[in-house]
Amino acid sequence: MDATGGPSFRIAGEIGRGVVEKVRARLADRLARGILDRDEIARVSTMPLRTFAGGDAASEIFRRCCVTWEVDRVPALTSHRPLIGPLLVAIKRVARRLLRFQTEAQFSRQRDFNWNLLLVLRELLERDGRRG
Amino acid sequence: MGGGAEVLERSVHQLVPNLAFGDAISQQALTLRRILRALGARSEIFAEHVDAQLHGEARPYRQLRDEARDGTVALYHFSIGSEVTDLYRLLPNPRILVYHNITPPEFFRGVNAEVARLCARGREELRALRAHCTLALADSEFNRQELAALGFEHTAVLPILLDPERYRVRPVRRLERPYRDGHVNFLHVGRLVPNKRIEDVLKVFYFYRRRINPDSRLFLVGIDTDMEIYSVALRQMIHDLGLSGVAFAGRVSQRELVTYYRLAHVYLCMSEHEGFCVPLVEAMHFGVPIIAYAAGAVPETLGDAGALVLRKDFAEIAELAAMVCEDPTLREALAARGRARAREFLPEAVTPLLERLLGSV
Repeated sequence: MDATGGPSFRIAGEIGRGVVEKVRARLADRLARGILDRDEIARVSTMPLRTFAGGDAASEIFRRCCVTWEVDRVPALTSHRPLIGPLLVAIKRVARRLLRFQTEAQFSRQRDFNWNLLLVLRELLERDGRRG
Repeated sequence: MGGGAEVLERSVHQLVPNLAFGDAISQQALTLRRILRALGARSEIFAEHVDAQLHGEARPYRQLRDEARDGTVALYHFSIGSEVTDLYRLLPNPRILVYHNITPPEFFRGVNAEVARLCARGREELRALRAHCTLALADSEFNRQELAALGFEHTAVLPILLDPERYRVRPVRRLERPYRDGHVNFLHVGRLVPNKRIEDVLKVFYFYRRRINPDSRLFLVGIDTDMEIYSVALRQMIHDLGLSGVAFAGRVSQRELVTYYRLAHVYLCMSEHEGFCVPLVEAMHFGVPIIAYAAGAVPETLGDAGALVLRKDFAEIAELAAMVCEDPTLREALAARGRARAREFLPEAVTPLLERLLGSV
């Protein structure tokens, strides 16, 4: 909520009339009923985005690791063959669905492992950069 | 489409560093080529890199040097530093620079130093191009003012075109069926880049889903190529917020894109730097109510057709989104305004301006 009291948005013309007041009344009601509190608003609103706080070379190493951590992110299915291409794509799609059933659990475990490793790696690379 | 006799007798070629599928500048080049050919002009696209999906749509950029003769108009779509600029400088007049804006390099700090360097280089190249263009076009008044401030003498606005044919495709049923389930669908379309402040989209969605309506989801449609650090940071924020219901759609086909627009109940844009913002026009075309932060060219592109955020009060924006979704009168009025605004970007609205501008060089 704004300390100055100015509207945080604008809808031009007749349709916008009274919308700011209604929105504020709804929010005030939610606060009054304890559905939401100002601490939560402040905590979320000021939450920083954690990118990379190191040098360019270390940043590039980290970026490359970020490319492949999602092992279950699969490229779009395509075929460059002119006539049988669509059939091949359809076959690949079915095969992928069947394989997904087999590999989903493993992918999920690998994905979790990679994610945690990525966060540790970022910490180490940043710490290394701070040491100079 | 009258008044373009000069256009009909000419070759009007376009030069782009990259011709990429799903990219707004590339799409503008393809649409312009179609219109120019319809006007009777000889028109080709020359590019340094061409996506496999657009194979055959462009010729190698160095060939333009031999192709450009007296009277040939060269349009250079400029948005980042590249080798293509060196070739453009060597071309004969008339040369038209089409400026799509360059994201300030500061946005890429801590995300990708190379992209930051290319953006800084692009800004340097832009300054040097003042002496190398007969006319400098910008796709928004915001961009045009940047050109004028840099000392470009002859400037004008040519907005990005909305080619309605591209959106007349069948939606993808396997996407549509599971997501048309009574839940409220938030949508953001665009590359995952720091200037788009997708973290702020997440914060708005947090308040909506956690405190207003748990039956909701957020689709983030767009690729994260070169922006992987930013993409990981977004996922960590989602984790730290304990937020579910966020779907990273990544790269999508045209049919999938159309499906997402059809599924969306509200379009959310918290970007802090936009030279035009094509997804806003697309959302308006599909009658999706828009809530967008007033930065860069966003107020201009949006016109009066959406809710313009003046200050990022995330809890209040979430409440506004709830009102837009729940109040059918407000929702319909915003959708109708959006459709009307989108019509101003259709080829029949923009082509006379294009003809006039080409006739002036």
